Amino acid sequence: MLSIKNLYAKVDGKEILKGLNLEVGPGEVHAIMGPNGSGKSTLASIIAGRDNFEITSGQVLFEGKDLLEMSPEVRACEGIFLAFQYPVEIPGVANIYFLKSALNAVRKYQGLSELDAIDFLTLAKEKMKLLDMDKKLIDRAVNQGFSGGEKKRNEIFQMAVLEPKLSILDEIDSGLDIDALRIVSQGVNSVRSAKRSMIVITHYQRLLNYIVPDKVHVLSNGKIIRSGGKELAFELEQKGYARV
Amino acid sequence: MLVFKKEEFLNTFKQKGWPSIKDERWKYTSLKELSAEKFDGPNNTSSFNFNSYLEGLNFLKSYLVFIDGRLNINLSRQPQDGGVYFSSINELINNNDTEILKKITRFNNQRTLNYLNAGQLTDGVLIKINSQVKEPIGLIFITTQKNIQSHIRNLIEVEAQAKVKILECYKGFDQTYFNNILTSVYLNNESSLELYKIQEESTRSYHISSLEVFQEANSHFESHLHTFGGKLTRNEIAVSFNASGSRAELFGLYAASGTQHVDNTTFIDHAVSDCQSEELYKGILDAKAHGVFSGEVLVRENAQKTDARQKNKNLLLSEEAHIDTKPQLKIYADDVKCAHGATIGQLDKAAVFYLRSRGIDEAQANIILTRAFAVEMLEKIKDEKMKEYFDKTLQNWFNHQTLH
Amino acid sequence: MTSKNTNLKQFTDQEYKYGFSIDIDADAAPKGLNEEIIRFISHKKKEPEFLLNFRLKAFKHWQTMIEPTWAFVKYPKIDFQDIIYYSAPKPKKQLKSLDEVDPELRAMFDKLGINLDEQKRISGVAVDAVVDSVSVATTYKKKLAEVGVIFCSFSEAVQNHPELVQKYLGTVVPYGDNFYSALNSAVFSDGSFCFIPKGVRCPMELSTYFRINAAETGQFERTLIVAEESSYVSYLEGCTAPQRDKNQLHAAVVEIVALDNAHVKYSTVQNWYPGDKQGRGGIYNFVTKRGNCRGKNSKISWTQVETGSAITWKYPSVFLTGDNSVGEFYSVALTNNYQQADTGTKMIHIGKNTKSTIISKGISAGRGQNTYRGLVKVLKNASDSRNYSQCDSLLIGDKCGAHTVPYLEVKNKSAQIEHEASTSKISEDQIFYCRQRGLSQEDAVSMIVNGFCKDVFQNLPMEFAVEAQKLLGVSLEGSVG
Repeated sequence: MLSIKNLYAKVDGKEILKGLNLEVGPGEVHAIMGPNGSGKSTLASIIAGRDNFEITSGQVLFEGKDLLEMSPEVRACEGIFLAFQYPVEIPGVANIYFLKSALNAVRKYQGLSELDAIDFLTLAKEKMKLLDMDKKLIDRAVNQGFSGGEKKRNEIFQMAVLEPKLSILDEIDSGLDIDALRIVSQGVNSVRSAKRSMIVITHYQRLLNYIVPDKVHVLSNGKIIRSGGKELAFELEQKGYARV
Repeated sequence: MLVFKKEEFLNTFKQKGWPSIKDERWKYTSLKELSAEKFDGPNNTSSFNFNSYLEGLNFLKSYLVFIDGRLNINLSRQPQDGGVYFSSINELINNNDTEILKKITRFNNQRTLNYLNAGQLTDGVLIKINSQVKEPIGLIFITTQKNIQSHIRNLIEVEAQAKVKILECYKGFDQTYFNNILTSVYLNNESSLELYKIQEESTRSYHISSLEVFQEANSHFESHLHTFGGKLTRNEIAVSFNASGSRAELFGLYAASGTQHVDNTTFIDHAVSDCQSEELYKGILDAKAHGVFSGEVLVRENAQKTDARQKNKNLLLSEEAHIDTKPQLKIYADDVKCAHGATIGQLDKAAVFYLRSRGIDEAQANIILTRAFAVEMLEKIKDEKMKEYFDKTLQNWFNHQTLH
Repeated sequence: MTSKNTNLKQFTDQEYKYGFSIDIDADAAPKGLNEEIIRFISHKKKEPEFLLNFRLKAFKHWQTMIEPTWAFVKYPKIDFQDIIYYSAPKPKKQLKSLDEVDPELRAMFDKLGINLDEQKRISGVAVDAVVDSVSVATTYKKKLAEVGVIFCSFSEAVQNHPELVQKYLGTVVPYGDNFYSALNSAVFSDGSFCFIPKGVRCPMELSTYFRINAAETGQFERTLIVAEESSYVSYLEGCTAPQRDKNQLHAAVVEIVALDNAHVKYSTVQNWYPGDKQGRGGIYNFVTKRGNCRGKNSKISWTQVETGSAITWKYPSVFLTGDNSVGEFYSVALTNNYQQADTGTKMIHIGKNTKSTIISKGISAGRGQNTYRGLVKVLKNASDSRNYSQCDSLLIGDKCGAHTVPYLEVKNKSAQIEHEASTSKISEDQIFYCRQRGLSQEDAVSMIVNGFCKDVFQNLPMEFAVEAQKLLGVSLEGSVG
C-alpha cells in the first residue's frame, strides 16, 4: 500500500531523513518509535504533503502512485489521513460543517455522490457514539477551546467519518489520561480492517497495548535502525533507545 | 564648530507656534491656557530646606537634585558606581562639546515643543551607563519658585550589555509653573533600562514631557510612569526599534481629580522584525478631571513576527469626570500578533455593596476598590524598594482625596 | 504545484462578474456643477420649492467646504467639474405598470440576477431598482400599500408625499454635515423612500438595487427611511457597476428615523466595481449613512459587507437619542489588489440606558489597505450606557495593511465601554489542516475567511448571507498562492 524508498529530506537546510525505507501492506499496523528529533513527525508531514520540507532524493508510492507529485488535498482524497499531533484551531468554522465539506470533497473525488445534511448527520452521530464524543463539540468551531484530549478525540472522530485507507497517527496518545486513551484506541480499532493500514507514531509502549501493531520500527537519526514484532516495543520500554 | 544657538530654536518655535487641537496628536489636549500664561526663567535659588522633599527617597544610594530646573550638586548624592558617568547639560554646552551638542539638538522636528525646549533650555543631565549598575539612580526635580518655566533636556545612554534603573521624581511648591522636559534614551545592543517616573507636581502646574527611546538589538526598555499632580499633564513616550530582538514595556497609572487634565500619548514604531511591545495604562478620574490616552502602534512593512499589545483601562468615579481614549493600530506586515483594547467603567456596584454589608462605609469601600484597580500597576514593578516607594505615593494620593 | 497555479489563474481571470454596461438611451445634464445644473435637476424632476431651496442651500454651503483628508485613503484629486451630475435612462414612454419597463433595462436586471416580475420572484422581496441615480421600477407596491407601507422612488415620494419628505429630509444628515453629504444634498437625483406607519411590521423585506451604468456619471442617490412607532422593517441594499477605466464617484446619503419602539434593520452588500488588478478604475464610494433612534426603545442595526469600490469611505452611524435605544453595526470589509477602505461607525449615546454593539471584520489582501475608524461617544446625560466593540483584522499576504482607529469619548461615569481589537493572519497550519482533510486551497481560504466573518454574516438576511459568502470567495480569488 505504502512504499517509501531511500527517502532523504531537509528542513531549513538540515537533513532530517537520511535514507528511510518503509513498506506498509494493506491491513497492517506499523508502529514507529524513536527519540525526540529522530524524524518521526517529519515523516508524517511528508506523507501528508506539507511543503516546508525539501525532499532531496527517494520515492514515496501509495498504491503504486507517486505521492510526492500530489497536492495535500489529492493525497487526502486518495485516502491518506493524518491525525495531527497539534491540531490547529479554525475560529468561526463549525466542526460539523468542516467535516461535511471534507467528506463531500473526498467523496466527489472518488466519484461518489455527496451526502446531504441528514445522511451526514446520521453517519456523524453513529461515529460520535463510538468515541463517546460530547455533542456540543461538533457544533463548536474546529478545535477551538478544545482540551488536549478533546482535540485528539476529534481527530479520531474525523478519521472514523472519513474512513481513510492509510491513517498516520502522530503521537495520538500525548496528553491523554488512561480513560481517554482507551476510548481513543477503541475508535482507532473500530476503523481497522483488512483493507485499512495505519502508521502509529508514539514514544510509549503503553499505546501499543491498546492498538496492537503488526510491526514495530525504531527510527533514529533519520533512518529505521531496527524492525521487529510487537515485542520490540517492550524491549525498548525496558532498555531505552540508547541501547537498542 | 557647532555652536548651540538658543535664539534660532526659539525663533523656529515662534514660527511653528503652539500645537493646536486641530492637530490630530493634540485633539483632546488644548494648550490655549498654557500658551497665554506669562513665565519667567528661574532665578538663582534660595537656601530652602529640602529635606522633607527628599525624605522618602532615602532608599536611593545616589540621586541628582534639580532645583527649579538646575542641577544642584550640593543637595545630590553622587553615584559612586564606576559604571556611571554623569554631567550637567549646561556644563557640556559651555564646554562646546560638539558630540554632545549634536545629540542635544537631535530630536523629533515634527514636535514644536522641542524647539521651545531647546530655545529656553534651563539644564538637564547626561547619564552614561557602561556596566550593569545594581543601585538605582534618582533624578529629583523640585520647583520652588512661582511663575517660572524650566525646560529640561536629558540624555540617557546605556552601552552594550549595560543595565540600569533610573527613578525620576517631579515635585513642586503649590503654585503655578511650567516644566517642559525632553529626554532621549539610547539603548545599545543587549542593554536594559528600567525607567521609573513619579509625577507629584503642584496641581496648579503644567507638566509636559517627551521621552524618545531608540533601541538597538536585543535591548530591553521598561517604563513605569505614575502621574498624580499637575493642572495639565502631557506625557509622551515614543519608542523606535532600530534592530531586531528588542522589547519595550510601558506601564502607566494616572490618578486625577479636581479639574486636572492628564494626557498620555504613546507611539511605538515597529520598524524592524522580531520585536515585542506591551503597554498597559490605567486611569482613575474623579471630580471634573479629564483623562486622555492616545496610543499608536505602527508595524511597518517587513516588521514580521512583531508582537504588540496595548491596553488602556479607565475608572470614572464622578459625574463630571471624562475620558477620551484612542488606541490605534497601523499594520503593514502580516505575520504579526497585535491586539489592543480599551475599557471605561465604574466601580463594581456589587463589590461596593459587598464591602458595605461587611460594615465598611461607602467612602472607604470606594477607596479600597479603587486601590484594587490601581494595584495591578504596582505589581508590574519588579524592584521591591521601588514598588514600596510607588505604593507610598499612591497611598499619599488617596490620603488627599475624598473620592466621589 | 503547476496544476495548482493554473487553477488559481483561472480563478483570477474570472474577475468582476457584473462588469457589463448596456446602451440605454440616457437623458443627461452636461458635465460640471453650478447653480444652473441644480435648477435643471430640480426642474426636470418637477420639484416643489422647498426642495429646490434645500438643494441651493446645500450647494452654497458645499462651495465653502474642502474635501476631507483625514481618512487613510490616497487618490488623485477629484475634478468635481468633470462629472455628469444627472443621467436618467430615457423612458420610451410614461410607465403605467412594471410590464412596461424598458426591455433592455429588464434584461440588465435579469443579468444581475434581479427579476423585476413580481410573479416570478419567489423570495417575496420588494425591489426598487435604481439605475444611474434614477429609480426605474418598484415591485410589490400594491401589496405594501394595503398595510400602509410606502415604498417608492424618492422622486415619486416628492410628488405624492411631499409633506413626509419635507418633515424628515435632512433631519438626520443635515445638508452641511460633511463635504459629500452637502454635495449629495445639492445634486441628488433619486433614490428610495420608505415609510412604515405606526404599528406595522413590514410584511416583506424591502430591497434597493443600485446600478451605475452611464460613463463619467456620478451617482448621488438619497434614501430616506421613516419607521413610525412600533413598526419594523428590514431593508436590503445591493450595488454593482460596470468596469470602466476611469474612476467614478458615488456619494450617497441614507437617513433613517426610528420612532418609539421602532426597529430598522439595514443590510448592504456593496460590490461596486473595485478597479482592475493594477488599481485602474473603480468606484469612489463616499457615503454618509446615519440613523437616528429618535424614539424610546427604538433600534437601528447596520450590517454591511463591503467587497467592492476602489475607495470606500463610509461610517454608518446611529444617534441614540431615545432612552433605551439600541444601535448595532456589523461590518465585513474586504480589500484586495489596490482597494482602500476606511470604514467604521459612530455611536452617539445621548439618551439614558442606550446600548451599542460594534463588530467589525476587516480583511486585507494583495495591496489592499483596510482601516476601521469608529467613534463611541457618551454624552453627559446618557447614564447607564453600554458599548461593546470588537474589531478584528485578517491579513493575507505581506503587502497589505490593516489599521484600527477607535475614538472613545466618555462623559458619563455610569457608562461601560469596552473596545477590543486583534490582528491575525491565515496560518499555513490552518490551510494545511483543511487540505489534509481533502479541501482545495481555495475552499480552505474561503472557509477560514467565512469563519472569521461569521459573527457578521449571521446578522444578514438568509438570502444576503449566501450572496455575501460567495462574494468573499470571488473577491479573494488569487490572493493566496
